[in-house]
Amino acid sequence: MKNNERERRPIPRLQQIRNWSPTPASLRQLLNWLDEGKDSGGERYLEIRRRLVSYFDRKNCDHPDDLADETLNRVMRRLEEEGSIDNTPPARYCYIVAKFVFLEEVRRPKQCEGDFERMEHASFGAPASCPVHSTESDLREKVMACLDCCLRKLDPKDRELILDYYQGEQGAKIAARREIASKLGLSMNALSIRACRIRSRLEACMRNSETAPEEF
Amino acid sequence: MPSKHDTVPDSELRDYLLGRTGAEASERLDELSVCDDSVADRLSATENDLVDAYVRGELRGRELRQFESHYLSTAMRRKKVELSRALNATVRAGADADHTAVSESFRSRNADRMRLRWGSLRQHTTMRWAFACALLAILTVSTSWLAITDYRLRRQDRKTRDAYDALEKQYRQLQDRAGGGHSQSPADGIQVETGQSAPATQVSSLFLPPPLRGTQSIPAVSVAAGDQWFQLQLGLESDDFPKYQIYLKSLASERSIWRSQPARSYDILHRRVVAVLIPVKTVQSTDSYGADVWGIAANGQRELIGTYIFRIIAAAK
Repeated sequence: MKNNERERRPIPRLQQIRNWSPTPASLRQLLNWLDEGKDSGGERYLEIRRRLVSYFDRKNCDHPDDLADETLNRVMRRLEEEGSIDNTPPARYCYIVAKFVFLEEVRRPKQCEGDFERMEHASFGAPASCPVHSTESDLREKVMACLDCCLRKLDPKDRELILDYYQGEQGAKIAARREIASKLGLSMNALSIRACRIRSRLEACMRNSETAPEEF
Repeated sequence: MPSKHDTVPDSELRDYLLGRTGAEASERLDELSVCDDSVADRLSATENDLVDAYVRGELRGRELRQFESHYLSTAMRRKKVELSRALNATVRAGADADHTAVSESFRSRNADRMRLRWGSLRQHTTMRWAFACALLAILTVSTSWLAITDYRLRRQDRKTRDAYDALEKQYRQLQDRAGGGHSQSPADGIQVETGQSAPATQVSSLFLPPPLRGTQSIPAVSVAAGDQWFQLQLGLESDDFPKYQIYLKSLASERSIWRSQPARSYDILHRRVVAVLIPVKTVQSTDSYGADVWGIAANGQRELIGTYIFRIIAAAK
């Protein structure tokens, strides 16, 4: 009798949450919801994720990427469960969830030991041939090489824009930027935003690059 | 929820990044950095500018300390600084093939752009100078040619006037001489002009060029009834004698019928000419005559220069 009752008892909410994993359909649903009817090809998702990563980083969290992914996973799960979230704009909803994630992160001191263990395990598991940079210039050289590689991956127009954008000093730089903006038919503000997004893509590329130094 | 239209100055965003804002303002900006597209973009741009300023050593004093103590406290932000350093170095280094292969085309494009600009500017200036020099040369040549032509014409005009004046003077002199009549030399029966003034009457004139060998048509002078004189202008090939004397002869009889007083030659329209007034009564109409021109040297010696053939025709009434 007790066994039957156990079988009929609903799975605890926490366990449901822990058992949940994103699916292609739920991801597609999230992308559509973030786009708010305009198909951005996933760009809106990436932008929201970038903002969340920056938010967690400014809060001095150790793993801002993981926390941003956790936030979006929770939003994705809620969206799947509810079918739709209409009363709150997508960006604001993501922020609200991020706040909760941050507060949970802050209230997690007992998990520090686990983290420490994970770090020790990670260091043991690290390859013995981990390169050690003897000089700062050596590191800089590797960063430059990685940047060069990531620049090549950019669209040629984006590459030209980002290199032209940082050309010159002070007054000459401002004049050059005005010229670029004029040539592209953009306002200075729009040009600045475009350059920032290209730079963010470079940052992401360098973080994910196999050739990036460990410190990166 | 903060309004999208709330304006957040860049200075406040900068303070937020350096950890200088209060708790309430930080929370407001936390929300705007995720929810407001405009604030999110401007925050990203401000952050990049702040990082670039640090890399270029433009931050000073308190701002520099806060950047290093607050902003550089996370690994992710330290990586941002490294990226900025690398990006600035890439742009500065230009066409280093090892590190900046992608910027090589950017630099050469820039160099080409500058070369084109300077080239076209130089070409434009050179063409302007070339055009100005050509114009100046044309003006100089034209002015010189006009001045020379003007001088020549004025000189010719002066000569023509002088010649005309000389001719007019000679004509008056001849008229004076012819008006004195003719006397017949008792020795040879040839009429000789005496130098008295002729009455003012119309005079037919004939210019005879220096005689040439070969058959030529005989020039004629038309004499009207009632004319008392006709003038012969005999052209000389050279003016070798101080004076000349003309003997008129009939070709039919080969006898001299008239002779002039010794006279000098004149320059008329670039030709040396000896001019004589001959009384009409000494000649017959339709007959041909010869005017022998004798040159008289300073010592009195005479030389026959040439015979000028002509004929007399009666003018139509």
